[in-house]
Amino acid sequence: VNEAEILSRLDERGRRAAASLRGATVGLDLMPPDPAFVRPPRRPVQRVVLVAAVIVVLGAGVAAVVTRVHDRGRDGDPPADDPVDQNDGPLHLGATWLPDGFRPIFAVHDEFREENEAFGPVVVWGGPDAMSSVAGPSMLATTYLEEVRGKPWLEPWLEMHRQVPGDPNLEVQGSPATFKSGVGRAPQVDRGSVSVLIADGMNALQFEPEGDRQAIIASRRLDRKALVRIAEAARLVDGELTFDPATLPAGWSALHEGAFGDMPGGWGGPGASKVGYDGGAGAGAGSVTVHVGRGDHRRVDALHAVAEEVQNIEVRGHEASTGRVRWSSSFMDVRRDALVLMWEERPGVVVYLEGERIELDELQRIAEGLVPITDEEFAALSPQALSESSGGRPLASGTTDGSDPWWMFARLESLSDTAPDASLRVAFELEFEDGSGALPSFHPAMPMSEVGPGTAAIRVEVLAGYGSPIVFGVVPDGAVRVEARSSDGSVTEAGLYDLPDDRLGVDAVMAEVPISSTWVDVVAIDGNGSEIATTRVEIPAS
Amino acid sequence: VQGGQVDVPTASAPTPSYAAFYAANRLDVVALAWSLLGDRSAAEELAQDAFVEALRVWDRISRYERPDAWVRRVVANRAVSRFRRRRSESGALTRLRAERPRVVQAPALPDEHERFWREVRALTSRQAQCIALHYLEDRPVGEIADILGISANTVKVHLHRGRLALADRLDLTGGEQ
Repeated sequence: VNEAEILSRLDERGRRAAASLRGATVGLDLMPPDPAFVRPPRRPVQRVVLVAAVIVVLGAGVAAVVTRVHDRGRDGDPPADDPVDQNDGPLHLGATWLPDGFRPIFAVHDEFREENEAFGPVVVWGGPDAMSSVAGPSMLATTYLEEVRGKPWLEPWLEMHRQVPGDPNLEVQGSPATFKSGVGRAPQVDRGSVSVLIADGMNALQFEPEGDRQAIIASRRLDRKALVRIAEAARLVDGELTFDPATLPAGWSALHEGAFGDMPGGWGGPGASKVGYDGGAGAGAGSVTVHVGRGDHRRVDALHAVAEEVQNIEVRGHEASTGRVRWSSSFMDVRRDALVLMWEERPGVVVYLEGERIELDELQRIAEGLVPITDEEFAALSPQALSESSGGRPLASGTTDGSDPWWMFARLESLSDTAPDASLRVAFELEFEDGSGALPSFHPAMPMSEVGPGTAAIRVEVLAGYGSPIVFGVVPDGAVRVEARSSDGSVTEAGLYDLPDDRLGVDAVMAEVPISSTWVDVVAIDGNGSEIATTRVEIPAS
Repeated sequence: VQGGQVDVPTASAPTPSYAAFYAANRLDVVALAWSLLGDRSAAEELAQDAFVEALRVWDRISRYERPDAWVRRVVANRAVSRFRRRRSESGALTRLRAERPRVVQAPALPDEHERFWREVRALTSRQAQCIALHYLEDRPVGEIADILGISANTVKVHLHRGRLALADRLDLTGGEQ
């Protein structure tokens, strides 16, 4: 019985079941709502409590959201002004000094957009000393719409958050709740990309308060019992968490509220300009990303809530915060250890540097050398432009399932008579329904050093979770045809692409395989029809 | 009316457009809720809640291109949430009582169809929503996407995986039915 027959049987059964159910509703005596008992919508109320975010959700292409700080009216707190972008246009900063071997790899800018209603604000809670140099405990909280869980870009990543060992039957407010850690990242959630980071060492509780939102609260210092107690009494008001002050440590108040993506530890933020540099594709190569986004000193101070080893230093004449953010995920064994540096460059504008495998003095030197760059200079740092200008080039492009655009490009990492090498990256550029673009999402570079000329090696990786899984990699250049034989019996002919330098002895290959695949055999076939190399890759469940 | 903004009809009768909207959609919305909750009474209650909510914000959603999609999204999302909660509560009660519930409601649908919807509810939340809209209302992918607020591509993924999983759960994958 093939799949088509099975689905045909199912459809027939489904149609009968649907007719039966619809028929059973006929004759139901349903009374229309009585307007006398319909309450008008609640006006916005003072938010005594907000959510705090754990995490950092960030938005690569996230809909732009202005940091909003509400007049909380507690303890005589003065009303907080909304930070205002005082620029006429986006501010892009480029590096004039980089560590040896570093070069630009991308530049992207998130258009400023209406607030993304799918995600609640991220609020930092803590006592008076929570943001000081000797930081006391704090808590982050945020919410997101239940339906966000169904987003294919987000769901696999959320599910990849590592479940922290603990009570598997934990319930909060009568619903399942879990402690999690790790990183979840997902582009294209309601007109933007989003990442959710729960830094290592944080206790993060995901629970379902009454309503249509999931909630997360997280803290470095509060233990699990305290978080459960706080969550049990938390309520959703206008999409945001409110807490019972009796469950919070004495003297706590909401210290900072930002948008998903605005929080430190994220990879940018709504409306942010981002320029990325790295030192090559090999293991151990460093990288740094320069983010310029909205915010004020409170966003800088909020680094205390997420990062470790936070200290204050001076950068470009401003007081800056630096710290280390570590996180990990079981998904593709992602582990990151980032050194971050933040400061308020001018009123309403925060600069945020995130580096990996880089020293603080190097990060500071990069920061001191930043200069404004023009839109034209910024555009010249786009992945496509860089790929072409660096001797690499886009190899192929397409759309997954006919919707999300992707492209694959190769870039020469080094090119000499003795050591030619190149890397492959796969990037997705997401496109919103209104036609605007979002940030590309990069698959980590795949260096080909280990696949030298004259070998029969074949090396492929899988990019899943973006619609149809994509299998890509390199095959011996003697191959004239490559087949992707999926677990469901289907065979897809992969695209074969020449790499920038034929001394590499390999060609690039890419294939979209059926989403139902659990594994794929990639088979390279030469001009005689002989199979010269084959390898099997598992398709991660998503 | 304050500040030039009208949020909802309160003490006045529903507008004719609301009445027509209610009449045109009420049974389908109950059916959708029923498919996802598995309980007719609970479905009626949920549908009623959704229509009350629609009336509450009718001034706003009546300007939407598809207010019918709005009410279905409310029902689909709340049904999933309530179903999980009910299942959780049921499990807790069962553990506490260490016995099965004493009152067993007679199924309102023939066994074959009751089982179909039971297995739909056993799928992931999003798969169940997509499949319910697909079979119950014969909605194309684009409309399901609009209702659920997700991309058409996502719907295709959930429908494909959900249908395969459902066929397996219903033992339709063998050589004979």
